[in-house]
Amino acid sequence: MQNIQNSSVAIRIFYKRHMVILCVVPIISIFLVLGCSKQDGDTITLRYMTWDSATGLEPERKIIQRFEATHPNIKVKLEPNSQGYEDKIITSLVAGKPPDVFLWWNFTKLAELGGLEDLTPYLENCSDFSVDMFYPNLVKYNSVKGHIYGLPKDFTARVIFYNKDLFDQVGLPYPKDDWTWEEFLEIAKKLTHDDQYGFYVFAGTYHLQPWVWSNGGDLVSPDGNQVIGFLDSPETIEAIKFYTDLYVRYRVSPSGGAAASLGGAQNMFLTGKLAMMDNGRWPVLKLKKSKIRFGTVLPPHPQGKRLVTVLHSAGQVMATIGKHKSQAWELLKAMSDEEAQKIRAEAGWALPAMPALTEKMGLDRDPVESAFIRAVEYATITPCFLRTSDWWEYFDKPITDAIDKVLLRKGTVEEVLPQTAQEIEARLRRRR
Amino acid sequence: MKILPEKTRQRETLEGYLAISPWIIGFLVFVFGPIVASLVLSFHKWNLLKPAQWVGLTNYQSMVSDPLFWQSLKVTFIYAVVSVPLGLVTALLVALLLNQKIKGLAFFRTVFYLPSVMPTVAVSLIWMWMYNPKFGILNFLIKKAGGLLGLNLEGPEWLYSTTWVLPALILMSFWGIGGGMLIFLAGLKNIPEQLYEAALVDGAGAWQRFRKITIPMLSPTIFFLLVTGTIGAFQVFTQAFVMTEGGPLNASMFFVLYLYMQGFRWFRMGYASALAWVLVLIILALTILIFKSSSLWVYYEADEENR
Repeated sequence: MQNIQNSSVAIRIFYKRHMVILCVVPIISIFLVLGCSKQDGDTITLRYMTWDSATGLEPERKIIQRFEATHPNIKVKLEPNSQGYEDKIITSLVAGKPPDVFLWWNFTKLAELGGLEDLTPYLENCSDFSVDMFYPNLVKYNSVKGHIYGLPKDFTARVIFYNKDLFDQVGLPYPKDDWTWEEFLEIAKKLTHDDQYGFYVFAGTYHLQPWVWSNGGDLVSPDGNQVIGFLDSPETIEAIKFYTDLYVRYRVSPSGGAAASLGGAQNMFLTGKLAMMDNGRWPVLKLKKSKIRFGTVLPPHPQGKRLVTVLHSAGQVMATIGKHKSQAWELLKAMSDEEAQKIRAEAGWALPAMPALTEKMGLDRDPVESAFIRAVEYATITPCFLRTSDWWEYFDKPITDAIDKVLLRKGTVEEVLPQTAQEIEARLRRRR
Repeated sequence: MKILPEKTRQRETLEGYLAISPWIIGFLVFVFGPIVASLVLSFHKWNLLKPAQWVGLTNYQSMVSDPLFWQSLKVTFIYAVVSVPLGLVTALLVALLLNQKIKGLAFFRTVFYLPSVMPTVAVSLIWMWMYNPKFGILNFLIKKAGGLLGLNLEGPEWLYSTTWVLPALILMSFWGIGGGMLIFLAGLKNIPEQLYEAALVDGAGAWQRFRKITIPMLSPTIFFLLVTGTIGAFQVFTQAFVMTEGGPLNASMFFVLYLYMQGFRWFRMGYASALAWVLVLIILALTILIFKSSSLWVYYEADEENR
């Protein structure tokens, strides 16, 4: 008992003596932290955020150094964030502390939420920079309803990769840009045997939409408000039936489980288990380092119809809340101009978004790269997710589920697409 | 005990609160605040950036016609109903084994408890390997077993099959029985030896001793583990997020995963908050149900003495 009282007295004495320290230390440290972030003089700091990581950051660092050299009063803080990037950007906007400039792709969503600065007026009042330098189809990918929100960083198109050795084995000539769906199917059949597959089919809307467009169909109306008459149109049904039949009927594609257990389409292609693959430019560097002899070709199109392709593009954007918008605009231009595009292209990570530069660098004559560039002029249709900010929840999820249903043999295309179209419209009506 | 003067007591109270203030402030700001905010938000439409808009009960009403709400509820219920009782039985069996007087007991206890210490993400990645349809150890063993029996057995596609994905995740939940096992073990150690000795003298067999002594004496432990297990099962998220993303075809779309998608994929924070509160109500109702039923099957020694 005595001991306990003694110790409690000791504690009280400790508190009395050190109360000042206990209270003051945190307060002082808060001031210290605040003091550090204060800027000195007329130099300002811009924050730039990107999902690039590791060696992918090297070109960005170079571009920023170049900008800082010509703009001595602006410091740029590079903030890479490869994990949970979208959440990070959104929460920083909510907190009122977004990066001044950042890399973005989901323009509709963030423009609707009011987070993206409309760059159209900046471009109109600007004499040293014009979006005419970019591929016109690519600019559309960085715009929402005629307003430009992003300056294209780089791009890739989806093309078909093919394994030359597997074609040679069965004496097939390599595919050419003008091949049709029917020819594609016949080739895929000939390249499927034992553990080897001709092609890989999987559920999803982004890589599927060019197949639908090429057949004259669509997943949603151009204004993004309607699916009946689009998702359930004969052209759409025919296209999705052709695509899913590659697995369901002709078996030229592995099942989702089989492909996943072999490490996915890219790994299957790298190990010679997959003869053809629908993909963007991302695996090119890895494939060039491998022993695989491969070629690239435009996707096939239905007999008598014009091919439509799809691109993947990200752009540099400006946050609506920012103290230094004119400086941010300078940075934005420097991160997308010809020099920046060249630095990135030379690193081999991406293709420049400017036709003049691709020509200058000879990329349009490169046997592998040129297919991606040829695909740009066929990218004539605005991707579905840029038509409505509700795309991912109201459209993408149910359509992906519908295609999954077909691939898992739980329904036919003719059944599930009209049914899904009705369900989507019913939910849209309730929302309004 | 010496009575302290009023002033000193007040001072001590104040100092006490000051000393625990970091915790209190943390609780208010990071736990209680968000709880209240989510309740308020559940009556709003809020996409994070635009001001929240009052919509009354709309969020709750729209759940009724949301097929994914029902699907996620179904998946979560099946998971809880199957994995919790099976997990309890398995944990009890292991605890009984580890309660024997054998050599290397400490080693075995460590081995059985160790998996529970591992982070769920790491465990999920290991199980993804084991469930790999072509190269996973499970399908390898199934094939080997089939070979021994002269059959051509092919294992299922586990995580890529709408039929097998939920059983696969339930099977994986046994990985974490170590915690329950430890508590059972503590419960077993608390059963007085003389009860068994008396039963032996009366001629009770092993099964009777287990049925009439072990189970009733363990019932408070079972009760505790049932309540915490049920709550945990309804909050499953990480495994599904890492391994399946709810697929294939929403066959592993757990309630909390769906809530996450609504909130952080589609930025419908109001709806996500409403989902969270529905989950709270479901867990609350189930917990009350288990508590009410406990008077029928949970046996406390103290009650016996009071009778």
